[in-house]
Amino acid sequence: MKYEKILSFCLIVCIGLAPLPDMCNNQLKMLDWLKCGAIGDPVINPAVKVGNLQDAAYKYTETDVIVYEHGVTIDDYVTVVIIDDGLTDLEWKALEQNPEANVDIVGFLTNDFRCYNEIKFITNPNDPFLDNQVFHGHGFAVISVLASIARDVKVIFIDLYVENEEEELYDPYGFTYGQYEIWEWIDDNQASKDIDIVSWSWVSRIDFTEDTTIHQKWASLITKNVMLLTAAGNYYNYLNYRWGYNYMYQSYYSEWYAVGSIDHEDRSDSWIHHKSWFSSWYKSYTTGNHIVNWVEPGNGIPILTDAYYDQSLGIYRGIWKYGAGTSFSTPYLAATIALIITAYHNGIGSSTDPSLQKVLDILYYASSRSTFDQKFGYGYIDAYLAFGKAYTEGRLAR
Amino acid sequence: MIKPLGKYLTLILIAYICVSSINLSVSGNLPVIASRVSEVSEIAVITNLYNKPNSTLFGIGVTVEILNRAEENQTVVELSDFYPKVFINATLSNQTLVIDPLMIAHATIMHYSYAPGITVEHSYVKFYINQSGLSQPEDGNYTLWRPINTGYFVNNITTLELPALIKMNSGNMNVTYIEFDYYPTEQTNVSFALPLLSILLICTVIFAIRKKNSNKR
Repeated sequence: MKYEKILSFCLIVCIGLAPLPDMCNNQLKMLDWLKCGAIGDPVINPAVKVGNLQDAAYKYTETDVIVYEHGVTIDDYVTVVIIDDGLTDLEWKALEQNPEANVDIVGFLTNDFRCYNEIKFITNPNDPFLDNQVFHGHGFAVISVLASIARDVKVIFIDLYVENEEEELYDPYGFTYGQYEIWEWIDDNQASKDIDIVSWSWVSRIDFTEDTTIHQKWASLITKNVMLLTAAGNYYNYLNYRWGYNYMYQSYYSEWYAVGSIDHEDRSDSWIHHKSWFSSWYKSYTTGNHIVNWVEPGNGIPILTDAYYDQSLGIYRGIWKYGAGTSFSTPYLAATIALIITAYHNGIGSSTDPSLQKVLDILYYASSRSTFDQKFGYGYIDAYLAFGKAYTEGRLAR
Repeated sequence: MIKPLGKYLTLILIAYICVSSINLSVSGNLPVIASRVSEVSEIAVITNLYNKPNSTLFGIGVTVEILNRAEENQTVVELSDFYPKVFINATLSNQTLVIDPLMIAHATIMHYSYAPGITVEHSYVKFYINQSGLSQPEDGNYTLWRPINTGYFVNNITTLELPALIKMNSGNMNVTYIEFDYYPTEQTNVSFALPLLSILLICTVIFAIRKKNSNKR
């Protein structure tokens, strides 16, 4: 009798435990989504979170104090160049009219493949040339990060040619990655367009060392006090041997300052658990120029997606969602530098720009770290400190 | 009445443990998400948009199947969004020649959801070979594969990428596709160690109880 009782008990326990592994698995998945699931989800109450910069992504660097509490917008003498996949007329208008935050797109630079190297600078979002954009959306999101912090900043968009996924689907125009004419145009137009910052969040296997003329243009831009910013790359993508190839971000080259992401809300999986999860140094940084100069919030940052026409308000706008990646930390730093330059202009009382070295000194002053770290560079920038320092430097330069 | 019940219960318990332990040893290794190159077109010489005079540009259309073995949608995490999504590598007979695929990516973490079953997608892969004026791809072994769920450490979804292997010989293309039901031995080896151990344990326990009972009598 006792034997049968023991058997019955074992059977009941086994049947009861049968679904346990699945249940545990689902519970773990739910916990994961609580931590990471916000990526890709809409931002609740964007008027407050983005419009008033109350999201943690902005408060972490005290950007909210400068932009929301002090109401600072970027003056007319700061222009940022964004190099990215594409921009439709809808996205262009949404970036200029979005109610929470917007910028001034002064032009769209592209290259017509149908007539090799015929460069077009489009200033009207209704230009039919924009109707054929196949690859777009990333550039829209990148500029929206800029918009959320550097309100009203002038933007020049440079359109890259993106390889077609399918034979019948391709961008009809755009610059090939690393094409010399991009740099020639920026250099030639730096003064007239008042270009201060170039922000680039794309990667390819282009080896720029093959073409010294591009390096000459980069050097020329640096002498004109233009800051060159690039995404450092996400986890082990940067200059790492991956799937048979090295993928070179621009950060390989010393002319560029590389921006990593800081996990400002510790959203990353617990076993990784460090704030520079996205920075490309990750496990192996023994070879190559694995440098992150600064980090900015990038894991759960509001970005604009899905541009549309809002009939009730009569404006073009987009939907704010949480994005992740060093693609967005890069315009974040570009926006902070735009604030620095504006503060300097305010201090000096004119549109005279600070030198590149002056901007770097201000960034170092307002960095969260006083020493360089392989994972964090000099850390993130306290926008409040940076703005105050830039204003003071401007005043002293009067 | 009670004794036959005991026998039945013993049999059910043994069967249950055997089946569940066999299941455990097999399904535990199957990747939830798998990608497979299921069809490739002829490798063709295409117009060299990039004006690289010392190279020939080739293009190849690729069909990919993505298998989701789970019963619900699976969201994969990609650390960067690559265009195209299919990668190519090659070992060429003429070792002075190398292939250089065209690829571009942005540094954004992307989430993609796949429904249960097979999802089909198409890619067009372009690559250079560093010699101008080639009319056909250089002889050698080419491999095409579709990386998936590169952020596996975020969601712990196991994956497998099954390549297509292309052998080029004097312009003749011989392609080997790998089916989803093929798995390397070390990943799907059905282990009978666990079921045997379970049966051994049960037998030991039964033997011990019976011995104890007979001693009492």
